[in-house]
Amino acid sequence: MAGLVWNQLYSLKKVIKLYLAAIAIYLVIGQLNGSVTAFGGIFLLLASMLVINSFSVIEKSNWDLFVNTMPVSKGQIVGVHYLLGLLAVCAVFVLNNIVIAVDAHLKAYSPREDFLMNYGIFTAAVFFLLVMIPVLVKCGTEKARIVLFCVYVIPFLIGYGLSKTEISMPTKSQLDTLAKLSPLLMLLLLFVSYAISLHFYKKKDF
Amino acid sequence: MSEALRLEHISKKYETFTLYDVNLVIPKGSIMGFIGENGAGKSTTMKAMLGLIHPDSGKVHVDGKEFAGTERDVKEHIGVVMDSSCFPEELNAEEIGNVMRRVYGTWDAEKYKNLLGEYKIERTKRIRDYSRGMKMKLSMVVALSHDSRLLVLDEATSGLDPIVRDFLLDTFLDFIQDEEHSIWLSSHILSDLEKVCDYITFIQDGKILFSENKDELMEKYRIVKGTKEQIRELEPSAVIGLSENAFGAQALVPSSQLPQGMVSDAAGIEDIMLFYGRERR
Repeated sequence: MAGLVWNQLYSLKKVIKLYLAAIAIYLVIGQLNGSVTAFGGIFLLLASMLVINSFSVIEKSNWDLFVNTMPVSKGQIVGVHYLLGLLAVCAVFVLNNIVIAVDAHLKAYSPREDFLMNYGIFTAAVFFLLVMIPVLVKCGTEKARIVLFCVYVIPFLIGYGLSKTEISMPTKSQLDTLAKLSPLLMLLLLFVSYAISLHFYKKKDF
Repeated sequence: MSEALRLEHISKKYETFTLYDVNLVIPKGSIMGFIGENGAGKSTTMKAMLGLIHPDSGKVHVDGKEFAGTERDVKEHIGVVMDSSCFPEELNAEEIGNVMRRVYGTWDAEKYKNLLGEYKIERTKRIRDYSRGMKMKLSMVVALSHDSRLLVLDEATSGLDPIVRDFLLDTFLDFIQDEEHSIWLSSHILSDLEKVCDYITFIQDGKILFSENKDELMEKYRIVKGTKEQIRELEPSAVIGLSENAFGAQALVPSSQLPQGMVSDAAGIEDIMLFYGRERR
């Protein structure tokens, strides 16, 4: 599996450098505007999008055909996408926390809210990733764009519609409970997402 | 003689194409050439033997082991070269080596390094900047740098200049010096196959028409030449295929049924393939 991870890292080194440069530029812009933590959400989104690039590289080179002639399991081939995506999202999550901590220390404010916000976006990015990978495995990058657009726009529109109705928003204690349960929920979703991806992948003909 | 590869009753149905009951055996220490027109089923057969598709029926045995269930062990000893490079284009040969040594338990880094030098492959140049010949050579080097006992080469020599092709053919012959080694080679360049193959398998419209020892195959048929009338008078059951032009006609016939008193030439693999094709039309 290590070989497959290295393959993806080598393939994506240009994109990763580009992402790092973008993060650096946003941090400088944030520093100049006095809110260095403002772009944390964008960084997390960028990190989860790395998986699309990963799939794209594979499709372009026919690597999927070749890797299946090598002594690796289908579980490992699928698992690489999860590992890569989660590593990227976790790395950015940690980076965001460091930026928040340093900023709070320098400006002498309590970073609790920012940490919570970062965690909230992190869980959203992980959710995005875990929904995205099975769709990419099943449909490929071209078709997946349309499917993913529907997957994200429809819930957003439903949420927006609900916010305009009389339905009450979740209370703080409900949100706290959800936050406490979120690691478990993410783990469960990871298991389900991986199982679905593997199921799709095993059925594929190359 | 023990078997490197055995396909038993492999069938696969697609919407527009069907592979019918493919059976073939590659004895250890031999090269099998797999020939057929575009779309005849060569790549589908190759994919079935490597587990890249799910056949509707049939079994694959590699080195005496059933492929299903032992795939990972078996693939450790199979080297594959596709008709195009399948390595991500951003990588260079050195990075490919770093990837492969973590994938193959039997990867020989020293051999890889030496072969890169022998094949004159630049180690730090990105694959996207390689010529097609270079890409194919790199694929070959990767296939030879672990403990491959069976090489599966799908159109590996197509589109290459004669010098690179000749170099690869020599590599195949070197590889086969070890009697445990075998090669399955599909190609449109029949002269290449005539040079190196021990067995020839011909597939047409998803069906194997024959799978035979090359020398026996070439002795088995003759091309009879004569006037159109002479050729038409031949026993129909003895004619595999025929062609006519303004100057006369010729037919492929089994050597055992060669008509007396007619001019005949030896049949090459290309002739056999062409006449078999004409027979169907």
